[in-house]
Amino acid sequence: MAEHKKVSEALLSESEATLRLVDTLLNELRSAEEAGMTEDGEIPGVPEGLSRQGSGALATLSEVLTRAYNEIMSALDALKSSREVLKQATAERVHRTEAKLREVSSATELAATDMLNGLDRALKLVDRLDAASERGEDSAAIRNELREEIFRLISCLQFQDITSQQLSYASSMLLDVARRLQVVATLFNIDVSSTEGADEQVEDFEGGAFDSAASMMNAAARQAVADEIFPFPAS
Amino acid sequence: MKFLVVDDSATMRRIVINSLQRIGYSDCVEAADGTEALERFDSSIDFVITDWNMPGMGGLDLVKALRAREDGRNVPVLMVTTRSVREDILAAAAAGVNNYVVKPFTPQLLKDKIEQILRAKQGAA
Repeated sequence: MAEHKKVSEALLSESEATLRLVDTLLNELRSAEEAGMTEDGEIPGVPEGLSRQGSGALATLSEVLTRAYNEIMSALDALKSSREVLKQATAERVHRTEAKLREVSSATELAATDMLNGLDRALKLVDRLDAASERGEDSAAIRNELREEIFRLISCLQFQDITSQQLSYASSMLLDVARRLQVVATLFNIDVSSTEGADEQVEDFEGGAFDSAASMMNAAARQAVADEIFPFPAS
Repeated sequence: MKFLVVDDSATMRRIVINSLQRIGYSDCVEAADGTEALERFDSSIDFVITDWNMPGMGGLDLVKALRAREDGRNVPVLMVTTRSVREDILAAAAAGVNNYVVKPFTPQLLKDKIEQILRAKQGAA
Protein backbone atom coordinates (compact mmCIF):
# COMPACT_ATOMS: atom_id res chain seq x y z
CA MET A 1 0.00 0.00 0.00
CA ALA A 2 2.77 2.45 1.00
CA GLU A 3 4.73 1.41 -2.12
CA HIS A 4 1.77 2.19 -4.37
CA LYS A 5 1.28 5.51 -2.65
CA LYS A 6 4.94 6.45 -3.20
CA VAL A 7 4.90 5.48 -6.89
CA SER A 8 1.59 7.24 -7.52
CA GLU A 9 2.76 10.39 -5.78
CA ALA A 10 6.02 10.47 -7.76
CA LEU A 11 4.23 9.92 -11.06
CA LEU A 12 1.59 12.50 -10.29
CA SER A 13 4.25 15.02 -9.37
CA GLU A 14 6.22 14.34 -12.57
CA SER A 15 3.10 14.47 -14.70
CA GLU A 16 2.08 17.75 -13.13
CA ALA A 17 5.52 19.24 -13.84
CA THR A 18 5.38 18.03 -17.45
CA LEU A 19 1.92 19.39 -18.01
CA ARG A 20 2.99 22.74 -16.62
CA LEU A 21 5.90 22.72 -19.09
CA VAL A 22 3.54 21.90 -21.96
CA ASP A 23 1.21 24.68 -20.84
CA THR A 24 4.09 27.16 -20.74
CA LEU A 25 5.28 26.15 -24.21
CA LEU A 26 1.81 26.41 -25.68
CA ASN A 27 1.38 29.86 -24.17
CA GLU A 28 4.74 30.92 -25.53
CA LEU A 29 3.90 29.61 -29.01
CA ARG A 30 0.56 31.39 -28.88
CA SER A 31 2.36 34.63 -27.88
CA ALA A 32 4.83 34.16 -30.72
CA GLU A 33 2.06 33.71 -33.23
CA GLU A 34 0.39 36.86 -31.96
CA ALA A 35 3.66 38.84 -31.89
CA GLY A 36 4.98 37.48 -35.22
CA MET A 37 8.51 36.20 -35.88
CA THR A 38 11.53 38.49 -36.36
CA GLU A 39 13.33 38.64 -39.68
CA ASP A 40 15.89 35.99 -38.70
CA GLY A 41 13.11 33.58 -37.67
CA GLU A 42 13.49 34.13 -33.92
CA ILE A 43 10.30 34.42 -31.89
CA PRO A 44 10.53 37.22 -29.34
CA GLY A 45 10.22 36.06 -25.74
CA VAL A 46 10.38 32.34 -26.61
CA PRO A 47 13.37 30.25 -25.45
CA GLU A 48 16.06 30.00 -28.03
CA GLY A 49 15.82 26.23 -28.46
CA LEU A 50 12.15 26.44 -29.30
CA SER A 51 12.07 29.62 -31.31
CA ARG A 52 14.80 28.70 -33.79
CA GLN A 53 12.39 27.27 -36.34
CA GLY A 54 8.67 26.61 -36.17
CA SER A 55 9.21 22.93 -37.08
CA GLY A 56 11.98 22.61 -34.44
CA ALA A 57 9.68 23.98 -31.79
CA LEU A 58 6.96 21.57 -32.84
CA ALA A 59 9.42 18.67 -32.69
CA THR A 60 10.32 19.66 -29.12
CA LEU A 61 6.67 20.04 -28.26
CA SER A 62 5.95 16.61 -29.74
CA GLU A 63 8.70 15.08 -27.56
CA VAL A 64 7.33 16.82 -24.49
CA LEU A 65 3.81 15.67 -25.27
CA THR A 66 4.96 12.07 -25.82
CA ARG A 67 6.80 12.17 -22.51
CA ALA A 68 3.74 13.67 -20.83
CA TYR A 69 1.51 11.01 -22.40
CA ASN A 70 3.80 8.19 -21.19
CA GLU A 71 3.98 9.61 -17.71
CA ILE A 72 0.24 10.13 -17.52
CA MET A 73 -0.30 6.54 -18.68
CA SER A 74 2.15 5.26 -16.04
CA ALA A 75 0.38 7.36 -13.42
CA LEU A 76 -2.98 6.01 -14.53
CA ASP A 77 -1.66 2.42 -14.45
CA ALA A 78 -0.31 2.97 -10.94
CA LEU A 79 -3.59 4.53 -9.83
CA LYS A 80 -5.53 1.66 -11.40
CA SER A 81 -3.41 -0.90 -9.60
CA SER A 82 -3.69 1.10 -6.31
CA ARG A 83 -7.44 1.20 -6.83
CA GLU A 84 -7.56 -2.59 -7.30
CA VAL A 85 -5.50 -3.20 -4.15
CA LEU A 86 -7.63 -0.73 -2.23
CA LYS A 87 -10.86 -2.18 -3.58
CA GLN A 88 -9.85 -5.72 -2.69
CA ALA A 89 -8.57 -4.85 0.78
CA THR A 90 -11.42 -2.55 1.77
CA ALA A 91 -14.16 -4.77 0.33
CA GLU A 92 -12.80 -7.74 2.28
CA ARG A 93 -12.63 -5.69 5.47
CA VAL A 94 -16.12 -4.30 5.04
CA HIS A 95 -17.46 -7.84 4.53
CA ARG A 96 -15.61 -9.07 7.61
CA THR A 97 -16.99 -6.15 9.60
CA GLU A 98 -20.49 -6.86 8.38
CA ALA A 99 -20.13 -10.56 9.28
CA LYS A 100 -18.86 -9.65 12.75
CA LEU A 101 -21.75 -7.24 13.32
CA ARG A 102 -24.18 -9.99 12.33
CA GLU A 103 -22.43 -12.24 14.87
CA VAL A 104 -22.93 -9.56 17.54
CA SER A 105 -26.59 -9.41 16.64
CA SER A 106 -27.01 -13.18 16.89
CA ALA A 107 -24.97 -13.33 20.14
CA THR A 108 -27.23 -10.75 21.80
CA GLU A 109 -30.30 -12.57 20.45
CA LEU A 110 -29.00 -15.87 21.83
CA ALA A 111 -28.21 -14.34 25.22
CA ALA A 112 -31.59 -12.59 25.37
CA THR A 113 -33.38 -15.86 24.56
CA ASP A 114 -31.38 -17.74 27.21
CA MET A 115 -32.21 -15.07 29.77
CA LEU A 116 -35.90 -15.01 28.87
CA ASN A 117 -36.05 -18.81 29.15
CA GLY A 118 -34.28 -18.58 32.51
CA LEU A 119 -36.69 -15.90 33.72
CA ASP A 120 -39.66 -18.05 32.63
CA ARG A 121 -38.26 -20.98 34.62
CA ALA A 122 -37.62 -18.69 37.60
CA LEU A 123 -41.19 -17.37 37.49
CA LYS A 124 -42.55 -20.93 37.42
CA LEU A 125 -40.40 -21.74 40.44
CA VAL A 126 -41.83 -18.71 42.27
CA ASP A 127 -45.35 -20.01 41.45
CA ARG A 128 -44.36 -23.41 42.85
CA LEU A 129 -42.99 -21.67 45.97
CA ASP A 130 -46.35 -19.91 46.44
CA ALA A 131 -48.25 -23.16 45.98
CA ALA A 132 -45.95 -24.98 48.41
CA SER A 133 -46.38 -22.18 50.93
CA GLU A 134 -50.21 -22.36 50.62
CA ARG A 135 -50.07 -26.10 51.20
CA GLY A 136 -47.64 -25.61 54.08
CA GLU A 137 -45.01 -27.83 52.41
CA ASP A 138 -41.24 -27.58 52.78
CA SER A 139 -39.93 -25.48 49.91
CA ALA A 140 -36.15 -25.70 50.47
CA ALA A 141 -35.61 -27.73 47.29
CA ILE A 142 -37.56 -25.22 45.19
CA ARG A 143 -35.62 -22.32 46.72
CA ASN A 144 -32.35 -24.04 45.82
CA GLU A 145 -33.57 -24.60 42.29
CA LEU A 146 -34.50 -20.93 42.07
CA ARG A 147 -31.05 -19.89 43.29
CA GLU A 148 -29.42 -22.07 40.63
CA GLU A 149 -31.65 -20.58 37.97
CA ILE A 150 -30.76 -17.03 38.99
CA PHE A 151 -27.09 -18.00 39.05
CA ARG A 152 -27.38 -19.37 35.50
CA LEU A 153 -28.93 -16.05 34.48
CA ILE A 154 -25.89 -14.21 35.84
CA SER A 155 -23.65 -16.46 33.74
CA CYS A 156 -25.63 -15.51 30.62
CA LEU A 157 -24.22 -12.01 31.04
CA GLN A 158 -20.91 -13.28 29.67
CA PHE A 159 -22.28 -12.24 26.31
CA GLN A 160 -21.32 -8.64 27.24
CA ASP A 161 -17.60 -9.48 27.25
CA ILE A 162 -17.84 -11.51 24.04
CA THR A 163 -19.88 -8.99 22.06
CA SER A 164 -17.63 -6.21 23.32
CA GLN A 165 -14.65 -8.03 21.75
CA GLN A 166 -16.61 -8.59 18.54
CA LEU A 167 -17.45 -4.88 18.36
CA SER A 168 -13.83 -3.94 19.03
CA TYR A 169 -12.84 -6.12 16.09
CA ALA A 170 -15.49 -4.49 13.85
CA SER A 171 -14.28 -1.03 14.95
CA SER A 172 -10.69 -1.92 14.15
CA MET A 173 -11.73 -3.02 10.64
CA LEU A 174 -13.65 0.22 10.05
CA LEU A 175 -10.74 2.33 11.27
CA ASP A 176 -8.41 0.42 8.96
CA VAL A 177 -10.71 1.09 5.99
CA ALA A 178 -10.84 4.79 7.00
CA ARG A 179 -7.04 4.86 7.11
CA ARG A 180 -6.80 3.35 3.60
CA LEU A 181 -9.34 5.81 2.21
CA GLN A 182 -7.40 8.63 3.85
CA VAL A 183 -4.26 7.60 1.93
CA VAL A 184 -6.17 7.71 -1.37
CA ALA A 185 -7.90 10.99 -0.49
CA THR A 186 -4.52 12.55 0.30
CA LEU A 187 -3.34 11.66 -3.21
CA PHE A 188 -6.17 13.76 -4.59
CA ASN A 189 -5.70 16.59 -2.08
CA ILE A 190 -9.07 15.91 -0.47
CA ASP A 191 -9.39 17.19 3.08
CA VAL A 192 -10.00 14.25 5.40
CA SER A 193 -9.23 15.88 8.71
CA SER A 194 -12.18 14.06 10.33
CA THR A 195 -10.28 10.75 10.09
CA GLU A 196 -7.24 12.16 11.89
CA GLY A 197 -6.18 9.92 14.74
CA ALA A 198 -7.41 6.76 12.99
CA ASP A 199 -3.83 5.45 12.88
CA GLU A 200 -3.44 5.75 16.63
CA GLN A 201 -6.81 4.11 17.23
CA VAL A 202 -5.93 1.21 14.93
CA GLU A 203 -2.67 0.75 16.83
CA ASP A 204 -4.65 0.71 20.09
CA PHE A 205 -6.86 -2.04 18.69
CA GLU A 206 -3.83 -3.96 17.45
CA GLY A 207 -2.53 -4.07 21.01
CA GLY A 208 -4.20 -7.45 21.66
CA ALA A 209 -7.03 -6.11 23.80
CA PHE A 210 -9.57 -8.28 22.03
CA ASP A 211 -9.91 -11.67 20.39
CA SER A 212 -11.02 -11.26 16.76
CA ALA A 213 -12.54 -14.77 16.88
CA ALA A 214 -14.49 -14.27 20.12
CA SER A 215 -17.80 -16.09 19.80
CA MET A 216 -20.82 -17.27 21.75
CA MET A 217 -21.25 -20.18 19.34
CA ASN A 218 -20.09 -23.80 19.78
CA ALA A 219 -18.73 -23.22 23.27
CA ALA A 220 -18.77 -26.95 24.09
CA ALA A 221 -16.86 -27.92 20.94
CA ARG A 222 -14.27 -25.21 21.57
CA GLN A 223 -13.91 -26.28 25.21
CA ALA A 224 -13.33 -29.84 23.97
CA VAL A 225 -10.18 -28.64 22.18
CA ALA A 226 -8.88 -27.23 25.48
CA ASP A 227 -9.83 -30.44 27.32
CA GLU A 228 -7.73 -32.49 24.90
CA ILE A 229 -4.71 -30.47 25.95
CA PHE A 230 -5.68 -30.17 29.63
CA PRO A 231 -7.56 -33.45 30.14
CA PHE A 232 -9.85 -34.09 33.06
CA PRO A 233 -8.56 -36.90 35.29
CA ALA A 234 -10.16 -40.31 34.55
CA SER A 235 -11.86 -40.47 37.94
CA MET B 1 -8.00 -19.59 49.88
CA LYS B 2 -7.34 -16.26 48.18
CA PHE B 3 -8.04 -15.77 44.46
CA LEU B 4 -6.69 -13.14 42.09
CA VAL B 5 -9.21 -12.57 39.26
CA VAL B 6 -7.77 -10.78 36.23
CA ASP B 7 -10.01 -9.57 33.40
CA ASP B 8 -10.44 -6.23 31.64
CA SER B 9 -14.22 -6.71 31.64
CA ALA B 10 -15.75 -5.71 34.96
CA THR B 11 -18.78 -7.86 34.08
CA MET B 12 -16.60 -10.94 33.65
CA ARG B 13 -14.72 -10.28 36.89
CA ARG B 14 -18.05 -10.06 38.67
CA ILE B 15 -19.33 -13.28 37.07
CA VAL B 16 -16.15 -15.17 37.98
CA ILE B 17 -16.14 -13.81 41.55
CA ASN B 18 -19.84 -14.65 41.87
CA SER B 19 -19.08 -18.20 40.70
CA LEU B 20 -16.24 -18.49 43.21
CA GLN B 21 -18.47 -17.29 46.04
CA ARG B 22 -21.09 -19.86 45.05
CA ILE B 23 -18.56 -22.64 45.58
CA GLY B 24 -17.31 -21.24 48.83
CA TYR B 25 -14.37 -19.00 47.90
CA SER B 26 -15.15 -15.48 48.99
CA ASP B 27 -11.64 -14.06 49.36
CA CYS B 28 -10.96 -12.46 45.96
CA VAL B 29 -8.71 -9.70 44.66
CA GLU B 30 -9.40 -8.11 41.25
CA ALA B 31 -7.15 -6.70 38.53
CA ALA B 32 -8.03 -5.26 35.10
CA ASP B 33 -4.85 -6.29 33.28
CA GLY B 34 -1.55 -8.10 33.65
CA THR B 35 0.34 -5.12 34.99
CA GLU B 36 -2.19 -4.47 37.73
CA ALA B 37 -2.25 -8.20 38.51
CA LEU B 38 1.51 -8.25 39.03
CA GLU B 39 1.20 -5.27 41.37
CA ARG B 40 -1.53 -7.03 43.34
CA PHE B 41 0.16 -10.41 43.38
CA ASP B 42 1.99 -11.48 46.51
CA SER B 43 2.56 -14.67 48.45
CA SER B 44 -0.93 -14.44 49.97
CA ILE B 45 -2.51 -15.27 46.59
CA ASP B 46 -3.31 -18.98 46.30
CA PHE B 47 -4.94 -19.11 42.88
CA VAL B 48 -4.96 -16.93 39.76
CA ILE B 49 -7.81 -16.84 37.23
CA THR B 50 -6.90 -14.75 34.23
CA ASP B 51 -8.28 -13.67 30.87
CA TRP B 52 -5.94 -13.70 27.84
CA ASN B 53 -6.82 -10.58 25.81
CA MET B 54 -6.44 -7.43 27.83
CA PRO B 55 -5.11 -3.95 27.03
CA GLY B 56 -1.49 -3.52 28.07
CA MET B 57 -0.13 -6.73 29.53
CA GLY B 58 -2.23 -9.70 28.47
CA GLY B 59 -2.84 -12.98 30.29
CA LEU B 60 -0.13 -14.99 28.56
CA ASP B 61 2.57 -12.46 29.46
CA LEU B 62 1.19 -12.33 32.98
CA VAL B 63 1.62 -16.10 33.34
CA LYS B 64 5.17 -15.92 31.99
CA ALA B 65 5.97 -13.08 34.40
CA LEU B 66 4.48 -15.01 37.32
CA ARG B 67 6.43 -18.16 36.46
CA ALA B 68 9.62 -16.09 36.40
CA ARG B 69 9.01 -14.95 39.99
CA GLU B 70 9.99 -16.99 42.98
CA ASP B 71 6.61 -16.47 44.67
CA GLY B 72 4.64 -17.08 41.46
CA ARG B 73 6.42 -20.18 40.18
CA ASN B 74 3.95 -22.67 41.65
CA VAL B 75 0.76 -20.68 42.00
CA PRO B 76 -2.12 -22.41 40.17
CA VAL B 77 -3.29 -20.46 37.12
CA LEU B 78 -6.56 -21.00 35.28
CA MET B 79 -6.89 -19.22 31.94
CA VAL B 80 -10.48 -18.15 31.16
CA THR B 81 -10.67 -16.77 27.64
CA THR B 82 -12.53 -16.68 24.33
CA ARG B 83 -9.43 -17.94 22.52
CA SER B 84 -9.93 -21.54 21.48
CA VAL B 85 -7.46 -22.16 18.66
CA ARG B 86 -5.32 -25.21 19.41
CA GLU B 87 -2.05 -23.28 18.92
CA ASP B 88 -3.16 -20.68 21.47
CA ILE B 89 -4.08 -23.34 24.02
CA LEU B 90 -0.73 -25.07 23.48
CA ALA B 91 1.03 -21.70 23.93
CA ALA B 92 -0.84 -21.23 27.21
CA ALA B 93 0.19 -24.71 28.36
CA ALA B 94 3.80 -23.99 27.42
CA ALA B 95 3.71 -20.70 29.37
CA GLY B 96 2.69 -22.58 32.51
CA VAL B 97 -1.10 -22.36 32.64
CA ASN B 98 -2.54 -25.19 34.75
CA ASN B 99 -5.89 -25.41 33.01
CA TYR B 100 -8.05 -23.69 30.44
CA VAL B 101 -11.68 -22.60 30.24
CA VAL B 102 -13.23 -21.26 27.03
CA LYS B 103 -15.78 -18.43 27.33
CA PRO B 104 -18.74 -18.57 27.55
CA PHE B 105 -18.46 -21.14 30.33
CA THR B 106 -20.97 -22.76 32.64
CA PRO B 107 -20.55 -22.24 36.38
CA GLN B 108 -20.19 -26.03 36.71
CA LEU B 109 -17.25 -26.11 34.28
CA LEU B 110 -15.45 -23.36 36.18
CA LYS B 111 -16.01 -25.23 39.45
CA ASP B 112 -14.78 -28.52 37.94
CA LYS B 113 -11.63 -26.94 36.54
CA ILE B 114 -10.75 -25.18 39.81
CA GLU B 115 -11.28 -28.41 41.75
CA GLN B 116 -9.24 -30.34 39.21
CA ILE B 117 -6.30 -27.96 39.62
CA LEU B 118 -6.55 -28.05 43.42
CA ARG B 119 -6.70 -31.87 43.45
CA ALA B 120 -3.65 -32.05 41.20
CA LYS B 121 -1.83 -29.62 43.49
CA GLN B 122 -2.75 -31.64 46.58
CA GLY B 123 -1.64 -34.82 44.80
CA ALA B 124 1.71 -33.27 43.96
CA ALA B 125 2.29 -31.99 47.51
